[in-house]
Amino acid sequence: MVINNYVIEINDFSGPANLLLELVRKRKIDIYNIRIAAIIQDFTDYISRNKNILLDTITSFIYIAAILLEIKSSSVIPSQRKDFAEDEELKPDNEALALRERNYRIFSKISNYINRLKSTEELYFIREAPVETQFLDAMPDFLKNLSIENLNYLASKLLGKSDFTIDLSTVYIEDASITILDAMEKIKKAVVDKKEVSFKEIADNYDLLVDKIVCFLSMLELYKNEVIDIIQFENFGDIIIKKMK
Amino acid sequence: MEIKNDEWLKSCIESIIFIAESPVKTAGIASCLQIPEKKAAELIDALEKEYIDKNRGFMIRKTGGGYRFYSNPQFHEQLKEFVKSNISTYLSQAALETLAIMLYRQPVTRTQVAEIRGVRADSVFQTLIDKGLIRESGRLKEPGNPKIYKATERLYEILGINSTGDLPPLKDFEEESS
Repeated sequence: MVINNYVIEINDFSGPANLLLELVRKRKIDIYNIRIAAIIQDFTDYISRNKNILLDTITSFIYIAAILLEIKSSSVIPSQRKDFAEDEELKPDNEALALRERNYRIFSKISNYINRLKSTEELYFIREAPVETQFLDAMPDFLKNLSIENLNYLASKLLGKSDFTIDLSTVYIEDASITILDAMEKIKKAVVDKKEVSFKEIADNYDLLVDKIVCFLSMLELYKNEVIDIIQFENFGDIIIKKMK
Repeated sequence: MEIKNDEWLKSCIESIIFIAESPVKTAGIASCLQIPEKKAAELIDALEKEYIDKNRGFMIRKTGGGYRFYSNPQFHEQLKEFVKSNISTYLSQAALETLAIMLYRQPVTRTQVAEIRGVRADSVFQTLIDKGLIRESGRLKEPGNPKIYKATERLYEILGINSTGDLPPLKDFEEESS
């Protein structure tokens, strides 16, 4: 962990906070001689002088200062630290602290490692944009061969119940009277004519639930294609459809 | 009827990966072309090699459990000029540490991460969820039923790995640490 630019200067130590922690941990510096209050005062002065300080810098400092405090307090009043960690109750306090600190350092190292992976990965670019319209036809038809019967089969398989089947003879799914393409055209025309239109206004033109669903899907498709913008102020509230600027 | 020779199949695979918006799994390609998965994997390997041999501007890579076209990193500087937009995801030290713990200890609760890091960071979790790098994966069966979190395929993708199995073992970092 690096504290950017911030250097601690006390008696016989001058360097970044994590180095101080390291030296204390290795007992090269006696924690007893470190006035943590002075370090914290110095840091608060530093942040009041530097308004553009990174949040990371502050959190790292707080973290290190907290560990220093913990080490110091445990060295002064060791018996206070019995309940340090549930699963480490039986270990001596210093050992538990060292274990936690060791764990943290391991994951800190791993975080540097994954940051390196991420940086390497940023040398590669991928297409983030959706498929251009001229290639839409090349997309495989994911709904090919889909029927109510095999949906029924898949649902029972998913639910893990071999005996789960819907009696299809009693199921009736009404046919939609409009297609998604038609509904998309209607929404597009509405936003051009009126600048803004609500989903309710569009859906109210249809009686069948399935037609309303088609309208909804068309709206999402237009939104995905960045033709329209949609705003909904509250959950389940009406949706305002506007032309994309 | 097309002749299903290897060259024809390779072209098919090329076009499938070309139009895909997310990594394409071998199984998907195999079922689309009605060939065994092993065969599909072999053909993808062959394509990968072809692009590398010819030093093309693009390449096929396996990340996040599937195949995708990527630009050749050699041309990163030139592309950066072309793309301009800042596509890199900035991750704070706190976020990186949380991801590090997540990758090696998942599924984890917020408290488990806080115990290792020494600080609570609920906002870090929210940011990582918003970026699609981690996701909720259920609840722990213990008092309070805390939510547990897991890495997403998107995270594997931005790290260029397929699963946590591609990461070095934890002890590699332990040895360095001690």
